[in-house]
Amino acid sequence: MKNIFRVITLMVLVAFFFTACAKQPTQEMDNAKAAVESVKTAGAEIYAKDEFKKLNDDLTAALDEVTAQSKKLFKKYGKAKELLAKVKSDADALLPVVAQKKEEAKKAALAAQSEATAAVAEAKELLKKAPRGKGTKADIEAFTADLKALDDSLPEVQKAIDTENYLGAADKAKAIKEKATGISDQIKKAIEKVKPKPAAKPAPKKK
Amino acid sequence: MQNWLKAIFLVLSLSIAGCKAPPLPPEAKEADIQENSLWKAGAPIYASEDYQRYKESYRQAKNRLIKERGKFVWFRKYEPVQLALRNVLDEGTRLLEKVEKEKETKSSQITSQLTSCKKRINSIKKLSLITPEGKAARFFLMRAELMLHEVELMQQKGDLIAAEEKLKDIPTYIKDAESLIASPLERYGDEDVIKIWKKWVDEAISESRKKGTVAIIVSKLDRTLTVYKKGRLLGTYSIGLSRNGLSDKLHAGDYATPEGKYQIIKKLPKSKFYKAFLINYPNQEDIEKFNLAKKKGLVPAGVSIGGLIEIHGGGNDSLTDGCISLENKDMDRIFDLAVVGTPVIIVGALGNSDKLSLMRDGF
Repeated sequence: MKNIFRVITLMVLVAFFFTACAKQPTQEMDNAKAAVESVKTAGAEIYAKDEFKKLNDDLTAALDEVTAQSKKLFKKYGKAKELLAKVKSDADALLPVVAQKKEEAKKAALAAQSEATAAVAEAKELLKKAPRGKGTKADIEAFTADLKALDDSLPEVQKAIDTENYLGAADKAKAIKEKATGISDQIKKAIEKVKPKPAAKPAPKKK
Repeated sequence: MQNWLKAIFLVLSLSIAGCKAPPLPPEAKEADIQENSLWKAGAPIYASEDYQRYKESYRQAKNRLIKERGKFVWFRKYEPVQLALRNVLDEGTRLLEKVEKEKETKSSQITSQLTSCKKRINSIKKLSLITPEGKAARFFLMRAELMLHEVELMQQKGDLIAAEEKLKDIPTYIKDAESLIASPLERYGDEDVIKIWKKWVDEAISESRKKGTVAIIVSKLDRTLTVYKKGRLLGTYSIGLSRNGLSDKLHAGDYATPEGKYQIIKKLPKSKFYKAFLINYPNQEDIEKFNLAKKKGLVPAGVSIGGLIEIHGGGNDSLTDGCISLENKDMDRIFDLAVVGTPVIIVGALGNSDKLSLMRDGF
């Protein structure tokens, strides 16, 4: 009887030894979650979609591992800690990548904005040189109205840039540029049409 | 002491046996991959409710897996979890098919709406060149076109929800443009007005047949000038009008082209615009209409009824001050056919005009 009591005591002590030393890695969990959140705030959902999804999945897997271990009799949080540490380091590594991608998107938006502004300005200049007459009056009036609409749309690109919607800004700028270029092409054609043709060279006389 | 050793042996045996866990079902990994594919395909966006249900099943299966893994190795049974994971995989496969179908439908709906918007914009653009409010209308049309372009870019990137959302704003701009253009064109939807125009045309053709003479019919909306001789159609030519060409002329400087039954009063073989026919605008009806409008205060002070309305050359892409312009080669063709006294019927539209149907549908 005495021996049985000793065995039970020993088992309880061993179980206590295994479980008491294995506390949930709450600090690591909080760190990983905070790291993922900061990447999200930096714009990872927009500029690094796939990487962010993987990061989220890895975080879920790490938290699942914590849950799995918490349900075990003999808890081992070593793997969960490793996973959580990896999530944090991956998130930390992703942060500059997101910042870089965002910066690239900003540069692209600014470049597209400049191109759109230049295209509208070029079309306006060309319109000044467009042949004026009864036959072109309607087209000139139409182009003037079209260019005004394009000109009025340019601040919207800046507005999108100001709100850090770089991808939207680039799309808006591209649309403006394409329309302005289309107008310029039509004006160029009209100018070409009315240009005086060079006099044809007289055919060489037959001897 | 012997019992102590037995106890330690028992604990060690149990620990060693615990290391030999049965392998995890392969469906667990497959489910993870599938979940990722569904996310990439846009399931949370295109089949939100179904995706939530799928995610719940996925979570439940994973929880069961976790629970099973938490059990002591001797008591782990993965078969029920495996079955649950297979069900999740089946649900995922069905969901993926649904998402792809949904995206395809959405994309084709967007394409069809884009086509419809482009068609409407192009129709209004044409009308904008011949109406006084055309310039203002073009402003809205250009805004609509810019948005269309943005929608196309979004569609190309596969961002169909954003494209669909953006597409919703475009009809407002088109409607704004339409309403600007529609007011001077309201008469074109009036059946009684069209009946009168049709009567004028029929009478002119019938007279041409009876008398064996030439009749000229101008349809402003169709931008055509048609010549009949002995009641038979000789030719139809494309014309240019003024910027307010679709309106009926009321006074000088309104850039409108008159509507009515006129006749050639002078042939000009040499004109500022190649060759020309001068017509008898204003006729008696025009004068009565002008006087009535003046009484009602619809004519600005000091403005006369105007005159010198011609059919002339210079090109059919002209923007006249109220005259009707033709290509020089077409002017050549009709110049010798017509004589002083040849009737010129100018109507807004012919009853069977395609453009008239377009406008009725559009507005």
